[in-house]
Amino acid sequence: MPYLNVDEVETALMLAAGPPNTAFTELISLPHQTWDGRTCHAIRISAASGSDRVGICFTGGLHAREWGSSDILISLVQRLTDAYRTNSALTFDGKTFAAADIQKIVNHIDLVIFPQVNPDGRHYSQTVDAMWRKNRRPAADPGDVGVDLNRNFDVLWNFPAYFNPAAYISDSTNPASEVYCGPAAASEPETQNVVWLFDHYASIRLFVDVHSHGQLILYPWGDDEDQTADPAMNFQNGAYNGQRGLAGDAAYREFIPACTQANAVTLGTRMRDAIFAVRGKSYTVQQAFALYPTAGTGHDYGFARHFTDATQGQILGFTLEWGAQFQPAYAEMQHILDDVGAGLLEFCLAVLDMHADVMIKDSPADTGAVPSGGAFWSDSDIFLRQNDDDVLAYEDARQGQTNYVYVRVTNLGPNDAQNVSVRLRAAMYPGTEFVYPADWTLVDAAHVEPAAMVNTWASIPAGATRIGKFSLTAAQVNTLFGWQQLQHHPCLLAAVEACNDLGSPAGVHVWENNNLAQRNVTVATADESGDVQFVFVAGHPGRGGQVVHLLIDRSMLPVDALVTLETKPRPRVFPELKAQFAKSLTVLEARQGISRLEAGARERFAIVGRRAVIGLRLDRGIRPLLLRVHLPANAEPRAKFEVRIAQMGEGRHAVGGVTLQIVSKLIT
Amino acid sequence: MARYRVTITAGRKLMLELPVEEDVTVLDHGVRRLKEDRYSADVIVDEKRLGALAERGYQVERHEDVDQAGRERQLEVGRGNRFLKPR
Repeated sequence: MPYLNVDEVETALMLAAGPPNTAFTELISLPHQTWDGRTCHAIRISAASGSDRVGICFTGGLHAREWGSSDILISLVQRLTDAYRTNSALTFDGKTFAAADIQKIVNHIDLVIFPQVNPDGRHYSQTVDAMWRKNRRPAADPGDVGVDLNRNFDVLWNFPAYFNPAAYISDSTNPASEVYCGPAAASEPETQNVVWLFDHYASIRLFVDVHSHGQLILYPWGDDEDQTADPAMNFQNGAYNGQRGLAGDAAYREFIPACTQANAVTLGTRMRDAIFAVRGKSYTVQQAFALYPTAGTGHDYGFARHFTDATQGQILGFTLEWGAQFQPAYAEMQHILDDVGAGLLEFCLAVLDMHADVMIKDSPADTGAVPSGGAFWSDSDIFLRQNDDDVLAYEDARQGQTNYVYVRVTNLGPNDAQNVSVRLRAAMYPGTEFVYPADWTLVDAAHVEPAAMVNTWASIPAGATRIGKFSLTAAQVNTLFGWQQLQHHPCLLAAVEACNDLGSPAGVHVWENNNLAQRNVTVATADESGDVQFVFVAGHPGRGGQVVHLLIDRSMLPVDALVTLETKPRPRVFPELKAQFAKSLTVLEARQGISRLEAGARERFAIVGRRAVIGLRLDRGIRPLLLRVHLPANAEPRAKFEVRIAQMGEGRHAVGGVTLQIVSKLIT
Repeated sequence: MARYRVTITAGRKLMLELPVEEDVTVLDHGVRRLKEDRYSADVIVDEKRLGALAERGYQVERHEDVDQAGRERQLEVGRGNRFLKPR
């Protein structure tokens, strides 16, 4: 059996994704055609559907001459899909994976495999210049053809600006070099295809880029030696420009969280040991920076994404350098297929043995699946207390004293969660949707940071809960009440992280990310006549034209209470948000117990049913609305009533909401 | 001139000079620390440079002629498309 040619790699992939494997495979057509006009494909192998599934991505063939990388991944795809479908064990010479292990991998992992990233280069290497490394980006001078794809990713790409001039960096701005980094970061379609996979398959948390040669398993970082003590000493910090890349100095070392580094070593070691078990080949697990720095590599890019954009899940990247030469005789290559295939499957099992799923429940019924549903803004595991009494029930804040916030964290398992931390903010916004990470991390006029009393744990056992505790000073409570006087409802926003939480969805909204939670309650006291007015905004400032559906639930009001909704409230409210206001609002539908009372400039609706739905079209941004509630005269003094307003997204699940708590008039 | 895959071993100082003073391109292949102040790396160098490196104190282990090996391996690449044959 010879090496696969370019067409054979693609055909093998299509066959593996076809019958009889269609129930657990997906053929992925990559969006960016190569310079020679080829369309690339990847395959997703997964029968997983739960919220705890983990995404793992394997890529191969970035470097043209490393032919065996694509062969390794195609062999793995074929053997894994066959074994899963037939419920069989898989044996790689001296290493066997039980049928149950194969089932476990496919049932719990989103495995995305992109075996031939650089088909143009592979074809050129297999037919013309066997030692060709780069892609085939055209150039006027034949000597300038091609870009080194593993120097083209957007991490420290503009390396002359970042590195110490004395450091020998294995990158070049010279197109003739075989490590030419390209004319711009991620300039190459092949690079863009890998980035597209990371963007499109948000569950991906781990990445192995298969290369040759050297019998090495490399983990981040590649630009300098790792350090775990100083998060500010990192690749984004311009204060260290010109200092990176020297071995053995203390001026600069790249930050990696200690637990992540430990996880990288654990996962790499499991791969190494599985490879050794096949036929005794010794691979070495080490940091990518051994002596000479690199920039723009795929594994560092995957890992860097989380630091540059906290909305991205962390992708712990590895480079596996198989074998002792670029193109071993195929008889030897067949043994390497076994070596590396076993290593990659063991990597999958090691990930499953490691990961935990921590969450903050959005409601008592929340299982961690997303979208979480329900009134996540008022039923979550965030509890405000006037006193530090350890009671997990929400009560209204009290002015003039310290208040407390408890956040209950649940580890859904299957393993103990490591290095768990919770952060909390109180935020001011009259709308219903908050967006991670900004609203969870800012400290400004609209975001207060309660002091943490207990918010970190070295470990939380699988299935266990822990209570984070925060305090709000009297001054901070006054700030919250000040917001309420401006008719901005104060909201509590909590986020939990764990070093080995590899399986959670990483959306930017509470309902699509089980690490996020919100408590969003406005308290209003009815006046002597029993009236309450509540203004809020619908829509979202970050969106253009949009359709918004509001679900108004008045089932917890007295039956004879009067509720009206005005779409064009006067006088103007929230002047500071005026720039984000929609210029036009159209009512598309009003159904389920809602009737129009008046049209035109004073358009208003009566909410007469227990629940009502109103559909609005906004040309952009947000739009203020006014809800008026009139309690009947016979409402019991000091009684509490509620109206819940949920904003529904396009999928008709709640994307935000607010609960208005009404205290009936006081007897003086 | 023939080019060879070569494993070069030396102390840290010499290894850091390898790409700068000796103009040898060091890529990602097999760069590892063997023990205290002893490193190795796989590089591709031509015949002429092999001798110069040895004279400068590098330990040089010569492997295959990469271009010759590459031409031989190209004969081991599939022709046509084996997966389109009737099964």
